[in-house]
Amino acid sequence: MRVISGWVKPRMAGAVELSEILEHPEYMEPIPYRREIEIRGRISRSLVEEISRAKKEPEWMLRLRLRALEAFEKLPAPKWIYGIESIDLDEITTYYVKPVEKPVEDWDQLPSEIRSIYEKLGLPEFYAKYLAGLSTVLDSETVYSSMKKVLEKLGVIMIPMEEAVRKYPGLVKKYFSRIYPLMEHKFSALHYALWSGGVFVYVPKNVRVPYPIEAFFYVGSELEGQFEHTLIVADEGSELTFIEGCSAPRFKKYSFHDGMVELYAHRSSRISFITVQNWSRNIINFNNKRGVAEENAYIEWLEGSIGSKYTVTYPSTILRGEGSGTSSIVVGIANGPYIKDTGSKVIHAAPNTRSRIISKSISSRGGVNIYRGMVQVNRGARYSRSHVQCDSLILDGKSKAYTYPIIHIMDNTADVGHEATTGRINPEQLYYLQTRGLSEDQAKSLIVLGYIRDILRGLPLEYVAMLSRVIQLEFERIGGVG
Amino acid sequence: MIPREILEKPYQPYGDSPTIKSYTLWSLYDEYYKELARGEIGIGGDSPVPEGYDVVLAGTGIMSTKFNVSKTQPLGIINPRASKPLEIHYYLLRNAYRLTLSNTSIRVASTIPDQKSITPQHLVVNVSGKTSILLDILGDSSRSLRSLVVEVNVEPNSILDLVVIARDTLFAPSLIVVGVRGEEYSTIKTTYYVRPGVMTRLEIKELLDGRGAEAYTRGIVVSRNNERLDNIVDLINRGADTYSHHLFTALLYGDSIVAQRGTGKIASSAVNAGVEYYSEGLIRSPNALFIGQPRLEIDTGNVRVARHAARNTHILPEQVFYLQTRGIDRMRAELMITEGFLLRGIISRYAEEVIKPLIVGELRKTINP
Amino acid sequence: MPLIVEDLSVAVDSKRILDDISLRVDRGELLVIMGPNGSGKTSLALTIMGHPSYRVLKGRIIIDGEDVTDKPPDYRALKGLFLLFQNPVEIPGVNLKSLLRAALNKRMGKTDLTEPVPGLEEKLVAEAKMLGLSEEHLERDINVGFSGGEKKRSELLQAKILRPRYVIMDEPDSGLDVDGVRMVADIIRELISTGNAVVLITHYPRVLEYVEPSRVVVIHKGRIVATGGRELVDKINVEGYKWLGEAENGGSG
Repeated sequence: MRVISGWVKPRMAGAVELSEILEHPEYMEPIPYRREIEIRGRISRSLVEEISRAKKEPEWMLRLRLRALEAFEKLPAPKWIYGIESIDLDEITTYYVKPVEKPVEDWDQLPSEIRSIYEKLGLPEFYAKYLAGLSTVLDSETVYSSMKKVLEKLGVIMIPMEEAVRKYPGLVKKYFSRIYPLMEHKFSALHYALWSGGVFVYVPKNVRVPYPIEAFFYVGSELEGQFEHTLIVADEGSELTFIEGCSAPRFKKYSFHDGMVELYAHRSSRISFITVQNWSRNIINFNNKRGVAEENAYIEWLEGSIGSKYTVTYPSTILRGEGSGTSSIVVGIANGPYIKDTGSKVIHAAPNTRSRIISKSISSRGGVNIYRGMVQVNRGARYSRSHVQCDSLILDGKSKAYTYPIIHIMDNTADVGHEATTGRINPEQLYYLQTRGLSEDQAKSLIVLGYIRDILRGLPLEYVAMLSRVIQLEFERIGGVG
Repeated sequence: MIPREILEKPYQPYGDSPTIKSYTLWSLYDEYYKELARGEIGIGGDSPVPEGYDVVLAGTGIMSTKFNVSKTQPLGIINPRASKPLEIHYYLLRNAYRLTLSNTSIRVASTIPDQKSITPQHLVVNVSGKTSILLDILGDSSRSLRSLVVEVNVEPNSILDLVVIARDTLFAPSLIVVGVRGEEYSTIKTTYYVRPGVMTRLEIKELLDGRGAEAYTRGIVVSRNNERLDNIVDLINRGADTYSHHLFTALLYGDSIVAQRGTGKIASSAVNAGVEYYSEGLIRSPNALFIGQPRLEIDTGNVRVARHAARNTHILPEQVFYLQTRGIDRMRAELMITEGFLLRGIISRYAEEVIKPLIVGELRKTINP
Repeated sequence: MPLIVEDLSVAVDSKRILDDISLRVDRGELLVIMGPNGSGKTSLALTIMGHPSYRVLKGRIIIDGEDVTDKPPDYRALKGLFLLFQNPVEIPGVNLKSLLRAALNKRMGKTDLTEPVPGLEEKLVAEAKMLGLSEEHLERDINVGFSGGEKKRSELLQAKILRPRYVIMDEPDSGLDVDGVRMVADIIRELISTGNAVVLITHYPRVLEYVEPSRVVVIHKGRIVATGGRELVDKINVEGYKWLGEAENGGSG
């Protein structure tokens, strides 16, 4: 036996510079480590007190806000978020204290891009003006006022959140911040400290709201804040479909949005919550969404992100009651130098619960889509089932798609699966459509629409029609750029 | 002494979430680092030199019977800043050893001392031609924190058949990191079998830099009792026309915890590359926990294939019934299905020959204790 | 020596799916069980084989004089019963060769089921070739990624290697071309002529153009509704199953 080197005696020596031992630093792995988001400026206690006073809030709400502010200061800034480097609190509070009534004063102030889309969509002028924020009421359409009457008749409460805090303090207190804890992360704490606007909805026992509520047309201005808080409570056996937002592009002047949605589905109730967000491309958008489903209840999320610069949103459901279920459909479109950090989370905390997550993303012209999801099956959540399907489409060489799922399985009777694929448009499909006379861009937009169409089933027809037009316009503009 | 600034770093700079901290028992590593920093324990120590191996990494030294070993510098395939245990590895490391292999087959063992200490081991291998390496990581009842990094560079048009077997110790946490870099048109087959210890962090990194390089990684785990495994597999495609594939199957008994995470990446330079990443857990006890976290990062639309999946599987009653209709009793049927789950998709015949008897033996123990 | 089913009633969960079924097939015979889709044919096959989801409410299953009603499927298999599945399950990681090796070792009373079986390799390759399967199929995981036809061929191969005495074939000809159907007929004939019994379950009897049944039984809604011979097959060939009352015309075939 030939011994090449002897036994090395244990010894301690000074540190060696890491760079010295790396012969070939160029081999270093290319995954960059994310840095923490830098938070500049401060939010003062007096600002929070002022907000609460102005809203004539009860004492408990003020205390909640102050607790949230404290948590915000203590909690670390997220370091896993891609792309956002800093957030300026001073800028946020400047806008906050002196809110701008209307984002634009007249039609000509709208970015030409948005104006041209409105024209291409062929929207009636009163409608376009409403969308643009030039008018705050949409009274030309009588259908909405008659639906308002239907809701009143059914006993459904749907009022601005701030009004609800004063009018139904017991009911609000029972749910507010109980679904999405303020300590969850830094931006949920910030939200609770500064929340303003949003809607409160209560659907009484066994009431099934027959039409989807397009909340945008009832309470549009309430949903337009920077920190709006929406709370929906579906009592036992009730049903509701709530459509937040609108797929046509919307101009927003604030650059930071940190809204929240809390859903509580009591026994055997069903809530569908639909969001399509198409804000102007200057917005950093945090959207905190969570629901709790009791026994045999069902929560359905549809989250479509077309606009904004960064969107960070993961609609989540806690399946607390036996036999409850949830589905999340998440669509992210990053067309241009924008980032969509979306996904969904489900916690199975009771037996025989089921969940389904479908995510579809499209990245083009340098856009980045990130799917972040989590499915957790707690111990004792026997025979729970979950399936996640996550598809990403990248239209060109410089766009990106990342998929970060987590599955935690603590029960051996569970059935949990995640599948993901990332791909490009099949050139054969493109060619086929071109032989039928479509231009390459038209063919691409057709394929993109087909790629997401199957998940839009169940939405109101006009809504799908509008969304399809918006997406088509979005991708037909690819020509010449990518 | 380990500088305070390193000691105070998080377990890993990215993805160091509270859940990861809870299941990885990161505090066990910290216990060793702090004791070392306080001078209560040392580095390395006398380690056994088992028979039947060509090269033995014993403690911080090395022995070789027929291959030339020289002192060298780390290659840098493994990033020292990827985690605190790695950073400390590089900090404590005094000697890295190099092996140059060409058209050969070699058996390498790693042993660590029985006494409480930290044992950094670092092996650099250069491979050309058609070469197979068996890396047998022996744990027994050692109480030293093993900190083993193996970096392999595979030359153009070469084929590496790497088999890693880790039977880790229940008395100390360990860090085992294998990084392989493939040059042009190289083929890397990495098959690993782990029976985790009290806390095993096993990282595999396949770095495909050369055009047309391919990596096939197959991970197999059988865990029981309180064993814990944090398995991180990164497949990084940087060269054009590269392809990497990972299949991981874990069988969990007792209170064991198995986490399988890592990234399948196609960098923007990797035109027409492919990556597939699959992890599956078969949980056979109500108290075990399986965590799957396969990430996919695709930086270009010029992608051939990119796919991943994670799930838990079950022994289906229909499968058992089918085998029973062929005359095989229920217990054997379950055993066959379990073996199939663990052994399927091994593309290296050599690996299959080495690993299969170990798994069969391990499973028999469960059925007939 | 026969396979006998006596007054068999069966439920899945709480749903009764078979009622008072009595059958008998002797060695050297071909018993044909026909019926429209969903009539209970496959349930009957799975019950005879001992599928755990099928609960026997009353009645008995007797192989060569022994009551096996409460015996596990593997016991029945060793008694010489074989089920050719209509749609066999995938078993990842277990290939045809290792399955047959285990099954044969078991029949020889070995404890180590992975032991090599002398002569198996050659026999497998030869039989596979005759059935239109390649050697590569023998190394592939059972039924994983097999086409419909390949699954049938793999099932037939197992029947030939394991040499059962009572073979229940559940739709063996579906998914096969004309040559495949002839091949099934040849195998049935060969099994019968060598003193084995075959129970052929079929919806639409293409294979009966090539073999002669000993007896034909028609099942509908879990009950035997007609018993006879060739003439029943001809009737179904012409009229389908409409004469059973409920409009239930099986369109496949």
